[in-house]
Amino acid sequence: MPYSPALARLIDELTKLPGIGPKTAQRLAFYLLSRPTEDVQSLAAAMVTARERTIHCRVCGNLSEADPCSICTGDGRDRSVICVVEEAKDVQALERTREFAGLYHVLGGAISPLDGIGPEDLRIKELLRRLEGGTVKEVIVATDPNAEGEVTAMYLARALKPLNVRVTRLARGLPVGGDLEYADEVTLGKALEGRRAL
Amino acid sequence: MRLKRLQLHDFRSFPTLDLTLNGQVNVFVGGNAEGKTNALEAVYLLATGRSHRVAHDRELVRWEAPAYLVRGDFASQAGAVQVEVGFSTEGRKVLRLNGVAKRRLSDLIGQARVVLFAPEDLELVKGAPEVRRRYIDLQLSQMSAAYYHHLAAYHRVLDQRNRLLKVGPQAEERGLPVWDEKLIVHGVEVIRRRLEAVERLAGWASDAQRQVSGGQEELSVSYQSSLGGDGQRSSREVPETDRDPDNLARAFRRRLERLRPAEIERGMTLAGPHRDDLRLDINRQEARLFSSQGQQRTAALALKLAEVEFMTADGGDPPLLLLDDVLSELDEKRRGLLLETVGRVQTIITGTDGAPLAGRLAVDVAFYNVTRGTITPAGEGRDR
Repeated sequence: MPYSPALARLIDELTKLPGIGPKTAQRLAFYLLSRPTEDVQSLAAAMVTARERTIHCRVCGNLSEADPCSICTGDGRDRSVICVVEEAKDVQALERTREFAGLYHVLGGAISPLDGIGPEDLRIKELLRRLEGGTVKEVIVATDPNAEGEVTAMYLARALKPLNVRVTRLARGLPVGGDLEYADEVTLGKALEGRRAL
Repeated sequence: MRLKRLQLHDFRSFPTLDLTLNGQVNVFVGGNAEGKTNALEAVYLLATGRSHRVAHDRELVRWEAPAYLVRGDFASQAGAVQVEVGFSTEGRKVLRLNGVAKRRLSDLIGQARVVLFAPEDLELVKGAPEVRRRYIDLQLSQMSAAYYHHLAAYHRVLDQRNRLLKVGPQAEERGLPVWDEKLIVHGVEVIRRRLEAVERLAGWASDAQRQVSGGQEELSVSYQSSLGGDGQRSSREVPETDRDPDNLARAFRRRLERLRPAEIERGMTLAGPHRDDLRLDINRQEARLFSSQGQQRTAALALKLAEVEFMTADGGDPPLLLLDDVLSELDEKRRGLLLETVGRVQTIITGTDGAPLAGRLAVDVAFYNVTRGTITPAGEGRDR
């Protein structure tokens, strides 16, 4: 017997989510049907509210409910440093470290011709505009250490060159708490390259 | 390095297999389509993470089974090493080293090392340049994780750059210069290591050719880079002074600048290690074009023997030698030279009968019968 139209539609919608195939979608749908109506309403409301209230900060591009976001308007932030990341979730990762008190700039991805993403599709012009005032002394490029992230970093370094601001890249190397003997050759090589005086 | 035990689950024609390898030389005897090559393929998979026959893991899963798993227990200089490679038809690849899951193939590749010699390798001399590049790349990837990293990164950048070139002249402002730099960084690392390798391989290969031909044939092997020259066929040998990474990078950059209009017109990258080749000459004539089939077969064998020497000489674990049905393809003299090497490293040989080996090996040999998805010992001893 085929699923009722309502159930079939739910499964279809769930299948559109990333990382969810038909089997998982089916399991989730049956789970939702087994819950009290209030629980499901609360989930649906949370999704709609989050989607409606969350916007991109017009300054840094981070996800926020306020515009500009609380980081951009925050009192204790160092306005002379901007850390450039690919995605809003990278801001969360860096904030969790509590080591960085500067500002952020979210590019919205990395240069990737295979995905049709060129420099003009990223928020690079917005970054250049933020640097015009001259208050920013350093830009830390924290894009991913893969081919696309590296190329994006290199592109930024070139674009920022005429502006006379210091451009730095996150270091790469050994994970904290790791054993030297278990590190792969490539990571170890990068760690050697980026060694520092004690 | 020695393979002690091989286990297969739903791999190709094998529902389950648990095989202990007893000999220095292990001979799998069986008729056609009984699964001999499948077993070798599994060992190859443990060393390289992929099949030498098919591009997709899906094809390795036994008919109607949900997943395959290959497990190998090796004895290496560093102690016991267990490598597992698997794939479920849901699309998940499983890689484990000593029971610990690994995310990247680069963490696994080279833990076990193999040299495979199959009938298609006899095409090494007259085949497409791609065949000779794969010959170099596979041994270097097993020997150096850094090489594998740069090669994989190079190909990723190459795909991106090729796509970008297809947009036409706007490619320039859409980031082409930075893709150039990235291509050069990884490309130089690949070329540099290939040049070193070819120089060493050339010596062993030419010794082997001389031995088979009774001193009549002089084989020379050189690396042909696509970075130099101006003409249509722009390959040339790379002189000693140009091997410095900075010089290579400069040559690569110059070449890309010169090729810019052509690359944009054709929408593809026209120079770099993906266009390079090995040049093989026998008695100063290009072997691909001017040598007899016999000379070409000897050269293919010589290159394979050089591969064993190279992988043994770098101080790591000597490789396993996998001979897939090639003994019957070789004449007496060539078979003799190959079997000399066989005694020195652990070897797995497949064939439709054990006859070509009779009386030829002075090391411990174990024979196995392969029939429809099972492999059973057929009696052991010194020869048979």
